[in-house]
Amino acid sequence: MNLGHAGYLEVLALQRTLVQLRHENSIPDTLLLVEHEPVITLGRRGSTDNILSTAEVLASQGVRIYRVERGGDVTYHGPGQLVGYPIIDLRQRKLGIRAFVELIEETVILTLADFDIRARREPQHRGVWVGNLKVAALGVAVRRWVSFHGFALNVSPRMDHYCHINPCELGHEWVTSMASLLEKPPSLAVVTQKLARKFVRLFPGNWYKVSFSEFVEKVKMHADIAQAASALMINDQ
Amino acid sequence: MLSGVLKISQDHVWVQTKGDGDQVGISDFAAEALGTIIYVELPEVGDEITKGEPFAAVESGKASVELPAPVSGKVLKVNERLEDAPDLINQDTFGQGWIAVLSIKDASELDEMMTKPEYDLFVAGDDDG
Repeated sequence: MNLGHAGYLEVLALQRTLVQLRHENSIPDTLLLVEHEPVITLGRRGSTDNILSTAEVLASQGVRIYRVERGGDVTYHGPGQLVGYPIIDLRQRKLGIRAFVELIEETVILTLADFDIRARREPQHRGVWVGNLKVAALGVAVRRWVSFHGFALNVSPRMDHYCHINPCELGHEWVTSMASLLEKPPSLAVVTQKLARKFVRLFPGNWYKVSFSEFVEKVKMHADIAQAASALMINDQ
Repeated sequence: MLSGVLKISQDHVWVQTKGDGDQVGISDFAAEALGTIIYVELPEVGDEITKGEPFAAVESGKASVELPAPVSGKVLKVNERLEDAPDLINQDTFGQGWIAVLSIKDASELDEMMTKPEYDLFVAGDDDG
């Protein structure tokens, strides 16, 4: 499901609702693809020491900070970045946590290969790397064996925003984007489409593409979804 | 010290009566599947926990996994050693890797859980698909 441009908190609320519905088997496995406004998020063990700018500086630039239940430390999301949230029942797919994380990395690696970017994983530092630079960050959460949160692939984000944080305790100079690696940066729409295709290949099943309104139509009996939906709709305007 | 039978839930969380209360932790199979645990979010002493609801979380390799409580009860003690040495869970899963001590509300909930041999069969079956 491609949400297009959507607010972080609204999508977070949607994810939490979907996790519950997935657990109840009311919905199939779902992948949310989204582009966020600038936000900094901290994982459960995230340290504010890794946020390098003051709250005032961040506020003046419209960058918000949220602490969430995913794994990992600090990360940045913003325009030009493709963020994916797989809501997958790991037990039904008989997937271990490690295998799941590796499949997500593989999804991004195969997507980048379509653009002739040779990317790799680094078992000690999760995420997707090109040379010594990190092009996609990863931080997932599992609740009742349903995954949420996910990955963020830098297509063409404002790299100076990374100076606000110390991503994964490594330092912002270690981060790159597809735009920095390629002469002609691809559009987010094209990357989204290619990534969805790789994802479906690696997570086999009966996938179909739905717009958010189509999805709401299907599950509108759920009050929580209707609520999350109205929040997103408002955000769309 | 009187030790009760080790019981394990389908969510890979174990409970064992050990003198002062009922210890809970994660199973050997889950610890192995997660890999080296780098962070544990412990519950707080006094927390009331509900069977099936998350009561703690463990993180390994950028994945934070919530642990569903195997039984309902109250948290009497938490294993603070895990704050500095979360990988005790990997090293001594059923011993020093305990996460919390509970006072169980309804002991009959333990009857619904598996013994270690039953659990081993359960996870082996899971592997075969």
